[in-house]
Amino acid sequence: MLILGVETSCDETSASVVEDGAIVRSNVISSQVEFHRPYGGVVPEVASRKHLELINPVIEESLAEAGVGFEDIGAVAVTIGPGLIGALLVGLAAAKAIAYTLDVPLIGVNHLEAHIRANFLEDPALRPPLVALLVSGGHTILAVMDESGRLTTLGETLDDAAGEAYDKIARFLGLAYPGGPEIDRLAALGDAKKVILPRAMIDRDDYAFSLSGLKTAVLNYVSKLEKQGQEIPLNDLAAGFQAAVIDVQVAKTMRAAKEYGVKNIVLAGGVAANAGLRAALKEAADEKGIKLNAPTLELCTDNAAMIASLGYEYLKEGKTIDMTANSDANLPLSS
Amino acid sequence: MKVLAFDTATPVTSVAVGIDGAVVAEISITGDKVQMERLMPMIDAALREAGITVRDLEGIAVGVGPGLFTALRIGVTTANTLSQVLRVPVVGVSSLDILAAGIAYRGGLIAAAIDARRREVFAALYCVTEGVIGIIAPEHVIEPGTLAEELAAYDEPIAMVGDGFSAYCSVMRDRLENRVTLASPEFMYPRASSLLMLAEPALRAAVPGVPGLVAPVYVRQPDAVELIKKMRR
Repeated sequence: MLILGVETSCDETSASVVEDGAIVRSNVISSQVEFHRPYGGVVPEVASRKHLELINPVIEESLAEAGVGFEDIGAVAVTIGPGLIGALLVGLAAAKAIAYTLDVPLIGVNHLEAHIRANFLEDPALRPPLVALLVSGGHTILAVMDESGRLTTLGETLDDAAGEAYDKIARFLGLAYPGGPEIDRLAALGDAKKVILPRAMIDRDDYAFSLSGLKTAVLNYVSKLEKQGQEIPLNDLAAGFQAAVIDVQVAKTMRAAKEYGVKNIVLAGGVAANAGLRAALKEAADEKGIKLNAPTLELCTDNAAMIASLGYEYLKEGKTIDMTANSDANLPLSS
Repeated sequence: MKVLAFDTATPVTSVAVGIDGAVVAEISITGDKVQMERLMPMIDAALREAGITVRDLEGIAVGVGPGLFTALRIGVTTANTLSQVLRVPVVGVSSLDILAAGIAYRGGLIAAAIDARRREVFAALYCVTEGVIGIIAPEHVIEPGTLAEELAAYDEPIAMVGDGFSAYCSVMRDRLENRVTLASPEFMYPRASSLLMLAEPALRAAVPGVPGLVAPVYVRQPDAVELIKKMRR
């Protein structure tokens, strides 16, 4: 069965055709990053307007790339949350119109669960139980998936999400937008040992994260050097910041893997593209004989293939929505 | 020609089905932030009442605002996507034009206004001569007091229509006194039946089988865009 996936939760407009939840026939992603660059972050109203302009051409292209027409589509899967409400509504409106006209099932997919799903899409041999670290512009969540595939959130950030912290620091340091890839790039050139920053909550025996303290520490560090008339060692600062973020994430992820006795860890979300994080988590997992899965860059970013793929699983369980459905900006990963 | 028309620019969502120039079904529902939950079921109900299915449609007409941004996007995205899947033309009509068309039978000057929140309205001014509606002032965003001044420049009586005037009726009356009359409540929101009538000629003229892409008329820039402009000045 061919499922058309639609994703518009943040600043990527995406549509995809996936066969039987497993074969990606097309995955068209139109990034709005250049439209948000002047503001140093995603502007919700700008994002919503762009989604409206792009959604129909992107859907058209996803069908053309897959070599199919609307009449070949067996169901429509769409992100219903979490995300920016105005952005989500554009995708849901389009998905409803398609499902209604074709008279096929409509499936409302959890965006966060779909990010984790991206790992199964690329590695069909992957089986739960596993621990998932989901890091993106809006989320930092540690979750466990049991043998049956049921997700339970172990902990999440109490303040800033990982990607949000990266963007804020990058903006403060006058770096290019988006901040994540830029700090990751500079960090690889710097020495993390030269700028030691706090590892918030690393010794707490729960799975909560906090990044606002780290942000303040960077601000204080920079203003101190400025007062002394010293130059800011950007590369070392980026490396120190990144190390502080990653150390906590790796430590908590490994602790969860130990507590739940899993042999698989998966990375998910936009920040999963971070080379430093991937390398550090791989090293820690290898040491314990645990297999780490991380999606390719195309499936780390927001994309509709993961929505269509997870939608297929929902459909098998009979989890569909009707024409009265609404988007949910605050939909949690697990209830 | 079988046409589906709807407008979601205001807290009243209105849907109509027309067949060969006649309105065969019309449904309107009042409610803030209900467009996502109500629009498709309303379309389904209107089509059922008209005795046709979505596959029978030969054209789509949609109100493009100005109005509530989020609600507007739900309507316009729905219209564009129906046009895309059905491969039929789509026509966008100003929601202020739709308001004016609803009381065009009165003739003379008609001012239409939609509440833009933040103590402003989206407004336009029309003149109906021998049944033909002409635009005197196109859509713009304006404070009610300033709009009253604008309208005071005309000597003739003016009919006011739209929720922008129901909200600021006293501001208008204070300045314009009995030179203005407020349209009765059933005309105060853009009705899909009026939209049908306005869009029909354009739909008939459109190339059949070719989908379109309609853009909302926001009038206002996003706040962040305005902020950056101010900072650069």
